[in-house]
Amino acid sequence: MSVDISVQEHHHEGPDPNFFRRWLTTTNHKDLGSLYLMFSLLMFFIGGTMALVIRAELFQPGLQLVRPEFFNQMTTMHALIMVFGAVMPAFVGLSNWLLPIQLGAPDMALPRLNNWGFWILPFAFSLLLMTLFLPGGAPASGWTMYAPLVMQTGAAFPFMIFAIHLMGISSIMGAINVAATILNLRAPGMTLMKMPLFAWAWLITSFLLVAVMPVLAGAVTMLLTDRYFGTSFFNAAGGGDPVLYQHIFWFFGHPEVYIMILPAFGIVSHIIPTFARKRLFGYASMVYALGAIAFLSFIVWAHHMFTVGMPLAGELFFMFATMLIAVPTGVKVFNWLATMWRGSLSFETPMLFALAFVFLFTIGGFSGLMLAVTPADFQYHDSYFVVAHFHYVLVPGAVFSIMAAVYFWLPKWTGHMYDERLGKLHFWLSTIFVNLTFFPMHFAGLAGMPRRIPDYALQFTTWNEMASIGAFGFGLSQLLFLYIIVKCVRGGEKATAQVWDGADGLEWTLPSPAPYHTFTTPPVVR
Amino acid sequence: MQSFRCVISPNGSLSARGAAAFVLAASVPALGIAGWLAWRGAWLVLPFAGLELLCLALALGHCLRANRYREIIEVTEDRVSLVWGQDGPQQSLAFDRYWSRVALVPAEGRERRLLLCCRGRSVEVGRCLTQPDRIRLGRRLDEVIGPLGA
Repeated sequence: MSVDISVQEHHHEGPDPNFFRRWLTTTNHKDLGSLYLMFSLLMFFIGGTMALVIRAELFQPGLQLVRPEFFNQMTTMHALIMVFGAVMPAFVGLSNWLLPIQLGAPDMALPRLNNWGFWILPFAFSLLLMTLFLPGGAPASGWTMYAPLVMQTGAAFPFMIFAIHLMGISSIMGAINVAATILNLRAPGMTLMKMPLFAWAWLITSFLLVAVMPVLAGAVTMLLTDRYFGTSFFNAAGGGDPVLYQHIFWFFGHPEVYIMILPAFGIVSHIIPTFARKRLFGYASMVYALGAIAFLSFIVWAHHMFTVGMPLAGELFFMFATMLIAVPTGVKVFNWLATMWRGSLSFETPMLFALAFVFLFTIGGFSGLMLAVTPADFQYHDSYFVVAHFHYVLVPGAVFSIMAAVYFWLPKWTGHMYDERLGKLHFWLSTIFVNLTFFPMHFAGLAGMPRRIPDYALQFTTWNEMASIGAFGFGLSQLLFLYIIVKCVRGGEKATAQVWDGADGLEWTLPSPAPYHTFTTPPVVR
Repeated sequence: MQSFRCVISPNGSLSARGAAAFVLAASVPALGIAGWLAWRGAWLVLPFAGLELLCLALALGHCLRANRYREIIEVTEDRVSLVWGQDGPQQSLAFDRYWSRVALVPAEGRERRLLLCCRGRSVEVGRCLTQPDRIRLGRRLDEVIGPLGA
């Protein structure tokens, strides 16, 4: 009558043994997380190579290596690839890997949607990269695609629009999936205010994505209809308004900046308490600060357009609203510092990257405050100072946080410890070269060097030489990062389940590497 | 007489109010800006915003619907009954307890199926459970039905 059920108890299904079927059809959050991260690393190297073309050309004044139109294509493609291909997919990859194991969920809430969300990306970026070989070359109007300049794009125009639509669809799928996972699959007892901060950061990021992605989709579709269907949304000759495009773009573009930085805040909020061996200072205030930053991100877009011309009241509003962002951001920086205060600190590679993030992102924040001051912005606008500002936010900000996250969770993913000595070497090389690259750009910008030019006046030479040397150093250092990851995946010292003695969270209760299926029984959180 | 009753439901932390609040909160900025832009002439943002919010609502609705699935297994002195459905009892079945048994069988998918069988008929139970929970349920049913029915 009875059946021996216990014999099945230790049966754990692994991945599909067929390589292609596994990776093409997988709905497993860990597989998809790995795919996102590998894709993002590939895009990081492609976008980085384009940056090196730019820096090689700018090493000296005059035209050396590339034609001006190709230079413009490189700046545009570099930005599009880094924003949509490297940083965003990396955070989505981290959310895939981490959210289920941090929330005690067996997988993402909508696994098939997850698979589609990833597999759209290779098509989107193939389309975008293919434009380099089309008549007229790749898009060259900057990642902002301002009308009417973007209308001069050659055959690449519809491909760019379609690629951006695909990237947007992928982002929306990712955002919806993350929101559904966080809202629906939390372990029993895990209330919203008990969630890890990475989950909070991602919940708010998904909210931002849902709110602003349609704006980008609408904007690029209107560009398309203006060019091919005779509409005049942004064509002044037909009664349209080119400045409206800028408003629309930046209504998407500014929250997009926070989409790329809020998950970084979440990551750093895990790493600092771990290596300070203290609880995070002011958890609730961190959550409220994330919410406040997200809210403010909707009402500051026109600070990108001070020089375009707007009423004085508008300039004042956007100036003060922008400055207000420093308050919740300051709360976060204060809390990270307070977490470290009198902590039992140790400086493993993830902590070093997290500390560099706090320090260098704050520099980017300060230059952002300078840019927020309307009268000062009239001098800084479209200068290399702006390039320095947003690269400080995005490279030692977003990218360093991703690197910190990779070092922090790599032992959990692979089951091996990475090479700490090489990790520290990678950190120091990256930090020195990132500053050598971007810090001189502040001075070049303040001295009046405009951005997006392949040639420049002689007096900017020294700053540009320093920046180019730094860029090549930074780029080459990332090969070391690749080597460290590959070495760690292939073997190394076995990682324990806890990995870091100060680590706290459900993911550290799992063995390392985390099994293919985890938390098939939801843990109870008290 | 010993009787046994268990209600099986999937783990879901999302409430209908929570889902509505999230969709509403996302709708305010998305539709607000889309409406403002439509008023300024850039109406093409509006359909994208509507479509996306619809997708969000459908996704959360799908999660809520999945959360509402229930199976009620009741074992009495001579009957093993099962009632299941998405929104209230939709299907039910009753087996003679003496001839009932549980079986964990391999499935085409990745996990095993837990079957309640009786005289050549079988029905799957614990569909919304995870593998370890399904095994635990199977063991418990085996205890309850087996010795009593033997």
